[in-house]
Amino acid sequence: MWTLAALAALGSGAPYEGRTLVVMVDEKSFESWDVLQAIARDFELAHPGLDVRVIDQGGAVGQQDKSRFMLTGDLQLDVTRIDVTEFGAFQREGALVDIDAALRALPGFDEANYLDVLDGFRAADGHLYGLPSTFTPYVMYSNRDLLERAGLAPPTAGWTWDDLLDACRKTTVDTDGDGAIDQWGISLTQWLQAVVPWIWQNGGDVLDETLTRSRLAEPEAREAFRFLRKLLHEEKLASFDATFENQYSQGLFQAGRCAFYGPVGYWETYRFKYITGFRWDVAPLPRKLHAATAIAMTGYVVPRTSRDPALAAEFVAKLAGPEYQYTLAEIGNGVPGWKAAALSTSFLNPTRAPESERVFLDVLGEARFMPSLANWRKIEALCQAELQGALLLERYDVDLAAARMAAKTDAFLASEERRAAKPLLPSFAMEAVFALALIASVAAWLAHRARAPARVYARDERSALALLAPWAVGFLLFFLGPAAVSLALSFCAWSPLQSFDSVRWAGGENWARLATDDAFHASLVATTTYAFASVPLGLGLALWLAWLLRAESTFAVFVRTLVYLPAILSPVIVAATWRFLLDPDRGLVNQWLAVVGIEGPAWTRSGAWVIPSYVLMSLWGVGAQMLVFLAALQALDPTLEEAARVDGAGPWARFRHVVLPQLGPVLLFNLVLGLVGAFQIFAQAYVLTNGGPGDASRFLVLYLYETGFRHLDMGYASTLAWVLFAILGALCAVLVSTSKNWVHYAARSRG
Amino acid sequence: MAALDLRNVTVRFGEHTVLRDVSLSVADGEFVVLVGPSGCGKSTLLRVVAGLVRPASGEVRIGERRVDALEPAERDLAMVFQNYALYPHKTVAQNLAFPLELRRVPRAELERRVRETAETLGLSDLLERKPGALSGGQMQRVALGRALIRDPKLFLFDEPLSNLDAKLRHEMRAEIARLHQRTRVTSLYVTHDQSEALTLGGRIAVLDRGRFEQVGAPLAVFARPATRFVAGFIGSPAMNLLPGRARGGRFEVGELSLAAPTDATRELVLGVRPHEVALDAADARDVSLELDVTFVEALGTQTLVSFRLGEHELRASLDGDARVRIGERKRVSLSRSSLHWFDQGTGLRLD
Amino acid sequence: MSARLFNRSALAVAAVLFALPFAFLLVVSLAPEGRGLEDLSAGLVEPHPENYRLALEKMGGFGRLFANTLFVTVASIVGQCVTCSLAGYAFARIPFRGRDLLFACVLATMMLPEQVTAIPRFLLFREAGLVDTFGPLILPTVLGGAPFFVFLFRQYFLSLPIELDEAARLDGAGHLRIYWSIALPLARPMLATVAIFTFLGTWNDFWTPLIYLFSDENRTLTLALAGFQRSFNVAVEFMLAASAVVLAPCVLVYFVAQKVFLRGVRVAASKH
Ligand SMILES: Nc1ncnc2c1ncn2[C@@H]1O[C@H](COP(=O)(O)OP(=O)(O)OP(=O)(O)O)[C@@H](O)[C@H]1O
Ligand SMILES: [Mg+2]
Repeated sequence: MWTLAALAALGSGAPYEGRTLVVMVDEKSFESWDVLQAIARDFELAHPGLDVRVIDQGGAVGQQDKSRFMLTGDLQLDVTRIDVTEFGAFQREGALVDIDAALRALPGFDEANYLDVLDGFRAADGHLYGLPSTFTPYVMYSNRDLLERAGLAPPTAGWTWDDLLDACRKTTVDTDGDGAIDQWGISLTQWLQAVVPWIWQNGGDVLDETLTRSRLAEPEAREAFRFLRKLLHEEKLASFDATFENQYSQGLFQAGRCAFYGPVGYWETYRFKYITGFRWDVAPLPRKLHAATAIAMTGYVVPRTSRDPALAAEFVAKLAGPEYQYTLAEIGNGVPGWKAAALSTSFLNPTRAPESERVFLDVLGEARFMPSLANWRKIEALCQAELQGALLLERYDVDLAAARMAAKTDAFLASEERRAAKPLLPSFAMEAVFALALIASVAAWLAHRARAPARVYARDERSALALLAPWAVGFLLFFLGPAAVSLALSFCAWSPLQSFDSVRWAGGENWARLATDDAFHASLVATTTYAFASVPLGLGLALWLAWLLRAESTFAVFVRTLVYLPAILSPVIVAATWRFLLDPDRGLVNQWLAVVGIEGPAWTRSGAWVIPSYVLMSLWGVGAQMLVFLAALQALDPTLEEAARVDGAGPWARFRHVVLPQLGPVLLFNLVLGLVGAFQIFAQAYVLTNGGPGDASRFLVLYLYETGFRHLDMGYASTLAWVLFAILGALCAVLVSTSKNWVHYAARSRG
Repeated sequence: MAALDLRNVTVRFGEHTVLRDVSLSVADGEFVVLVGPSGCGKSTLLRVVAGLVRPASGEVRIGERRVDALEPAERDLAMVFQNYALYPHKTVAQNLAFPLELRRVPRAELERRVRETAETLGLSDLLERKPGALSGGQMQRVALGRALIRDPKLFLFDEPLSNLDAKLRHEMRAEIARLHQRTRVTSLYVTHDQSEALTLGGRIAVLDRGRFEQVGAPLAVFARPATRFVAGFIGSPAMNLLPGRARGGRFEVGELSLAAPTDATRELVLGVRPHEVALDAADARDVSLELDVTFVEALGTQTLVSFRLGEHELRASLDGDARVRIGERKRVSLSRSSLHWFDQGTGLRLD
Repeated sequence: MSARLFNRSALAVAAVLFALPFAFLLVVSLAPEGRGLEDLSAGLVEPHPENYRLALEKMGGFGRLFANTLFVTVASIVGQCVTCSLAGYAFARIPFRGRDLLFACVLATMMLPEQVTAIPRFLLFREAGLVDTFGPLILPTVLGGAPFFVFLFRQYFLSLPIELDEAARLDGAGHLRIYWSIALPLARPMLATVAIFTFLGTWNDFWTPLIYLFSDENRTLTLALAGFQRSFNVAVEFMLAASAVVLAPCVLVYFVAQKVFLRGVRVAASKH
């Protein structure tokens, strides 16, 4: 069999023998998997001998991290999919291959075959670096039944801000007369991409033409902000739904409780297809001076780690071409970039809502991309906090917020310029740091050992070292070396899109930045507040539960098991559950509170309640701590408590004066572990609020992760990590040293 | 079998000196009992011999060999621990076999020796049990067996009987004595129970705060304690120790006044064993005086009577049928030959 | 009596609250596609058990995924138990110079977030040619990646009477022999504890497999789970059905091992 195949390959010449193409596209989800495989096989047939490997990107959660690591590690990756907002960064960091010529050399390649969105992947020199997968302009969704009931016609192209305002006024009502609005005019999205269209419509922009100065503080932009604020706060016509990017609306719109929902993209139709209670549709965004909207898009590119860019470009064209695009359109991924697919019934499916699906194509003429910057993500993040501060939290005035956004953006753009001028370190610098750290630490340890009095047997020492060897190897290779590199990086500027050959020396800049970085301060406040609230409460709850459950009755064992269950679940599922429970409008918690006549807070959407929400969630995970307490309680000497009972102590006194003092060591143990865990809170915040609203839940590790992997600033991320390390080290040292006063050990064990 | 020789051994744990410059020679086949109050360093001394604790200075010889640098296992000795240290996860048979396994003794011989040892100690029926299912005395016997089975050159016992009740303790004491009679293995035996020391030891060594106070035959130590500490520690009930001052050839404490062993003015301690204190003695003793009875303990075979002597107390050990009541005034007499004199400062015996 | 009643009812309420995520998971996983989050009762009124079958089909090659995950998990557990218990034994039982300093290193390892050591580590594994093998998933664990467990083992061994070791040493056992014949058999509850923690951690780990594994034949369950989440839309019902299947072994392991586990924690917690 094998020889036959080999002979066949030889016979046909197999010009591609031994070559592979590594493809990683997000669409490797179950719905498009077969088609993608078919395309790969088809491509292999057309290129005899070639092996196309489609690898897994880990869904939406993992896609960015994975490609980043592959680039850093210089691993072969020929085709990948990126978001258009990342294109600037990838292209400028030299992470992409210019495939313009390769594309144009392909037979039948013609820009006219695509919808007019190719500019998203066009560099400043006019060269194409990629082709679109699917995209979507931001549009407005409307509830037609609701509008009709208010005597309003569905919005059509050319409708204005005033039309929107008017419609919202007519549709915002308190239907049950309890004083709280339960039907809103609009559920307004508020992430930067969704806010920018309003600015464009009013004649403003985010950056000036040279892409070096922010225009957010100019009157056009401020007026747009003020309009949104009017909707949200002055007239209270808009609700806080769908506040965070990539966070799904909890469904005011699906529940039929708002007339409009937007600006938002095509992806919502995928979820709304299940709506049965009313008719809905899409419309262009309302206009002011101009009609304008933004485009979200992903596309296929060839990273610098491609081993065969020409072939990769051909595969890019194939993915962006008809074979795949019809499938993507049918799945509902977005508007296909391939024009024929977009115009076909695969996309414009008459049997499927929305009726006005064509709107997604019609608004293309007025649609624009976000500025193509080396670090759009960072600018987005810088503005996000201010934006939410002004719009959502009403914390400060629009003009002030606009001025701050502009100032932060300008400062950041300037610092980016300076960064590029920093001196490159020799390519072996990080390897050297790694090796030196290992040598130095071994030497330091030997020196420390030599200073210690030799009152132990050499034989013992040799066995100890032998037994510790596996751990020590792991410690050196996987902790100490990497830690040293990260310490070194904290004095450097480096983007993880580049390889370790292009680390630039930044001196103490990252460390100096700590003093002035608002987001860092906010993250410190958020993290400490969370830790100091959640740890004591958690310990208290755990102890209380353990105390009540210490008996070995069936009931106790049953409850114990339930209490431990949430600790088994992955944080992602836990976060998803809480999103559902804590939703301000439809969540179970607020519904229950309403039953007893309490109006629940906005939980994770409120700056004041987001930390308490996380504290609440953390209480859910006390299972492990409870087990530790339980074990300690069961190990206590019962005669002590009996003695106290004989002495006439009540239950509380027995607990307070007999049991609690004996729990000292366990308390310390749980306290230290709890603090270390609380200070490193990440996954829940990543999934649930992404740092918002404002900066209110941007915990330290989340900020660190965003800085390193999203904003591509590993130097500063490392600095943050070391700050965290120092904080935890200091806290633990203080705890352990003061613990002598309250931790009483029953008996000294030899050691 | 071998002699044991400790020379100038000092052990420190951090700042804390546990053994100071200790020397001890144990002859081949001898049974030496180390006795001293809790925390005085007895176990530490055994651990030094065993090689489990490394001394800061000094040397240890077993036979002719210096063993300081040797691993515990290379010293060819066996130790019985206070808490038995039986491996809880192994059966009695496995516990006994473990030392032999480590020496790669062939299977058949191993089984034979386990059987023999078990028979000697009456453990044959317990071989398949785990330590958790044994009584204290049985565990103790297994611990002994584990030490015996190897035929070591030297036996170390660390308070092996302290966890047993009084009756069992007597039985086991006799058993250990018999064992030693039979095997004649050099043994170092630690206890804080002085009566155990007196009955078991060929020689006893009294340790206090990391120093030897006295080493000698039990009766010699009992008869002529070398220091005030030994005097108080050895013998039950404990010797009366009455501190006072000698001046102009007389020593006075409370109402008691007697000829001092020296003419100089000096702070001394007078020691009198309770059974040397006579009551209403028919024969004329050297010293006699009237004292108030403050306390009486009737113990059956003997009666302990306490008298007030100034601010001190003098105890007398009388026959079990002595009739004395609290508050009575009695005539008490001592004979000079039974008196022990110690210096109050150094604690050393005067003669 | 009334206090007792109060405690009972408080516990009952707590039990319900703590069971919520599971109830949520099960209810939504049974709902008809697209309805799960809209209407919680959907899954109860009209359960769709076929979600489970479909979810497994969509994950693709469940057997393979399961085998891979199991292999990684078992290897991690074995390695973790051996390395951490060895190190814990050395720290607890062998006097050697520089011990406190090394032990401080163990504790320090807990305090640096893994996100920052990830990149140098990745480059290291790339140099070693181990990317797209199970090496990067297993090796850090096998080489004592979780300092917390070293700590736990040390506590545990400290709680065993030192005389056991000394007796064995006099009998001629070296440290390795004592570790193997005496300490390890006695540490069984602790081994179970570490095994469970490692099991849960490795089984649910997403990031490490994501970054290191590329080939189809190496995929693990969590990676396949992530396939249900895409940029803009999520098939929640299938995702949760698949999650429930992936979680089942965890719950099972916990139920079965609860007793031993508790015993291990008990000893480790009672001494410091
Ligand atoms: N490993 C150690 N580290 C520090 N100090 C120790 C250590 N072992 C013993 N000590 C101290 O050394 C002194 C002597 O201890 P040792 O165990 O030798 O006493 P002992 O005479 O056997 O007492 P006992 O009759 O109570 O067993 C004690 O004060 C003890 O606290
Ligand atoms: Mg002792």
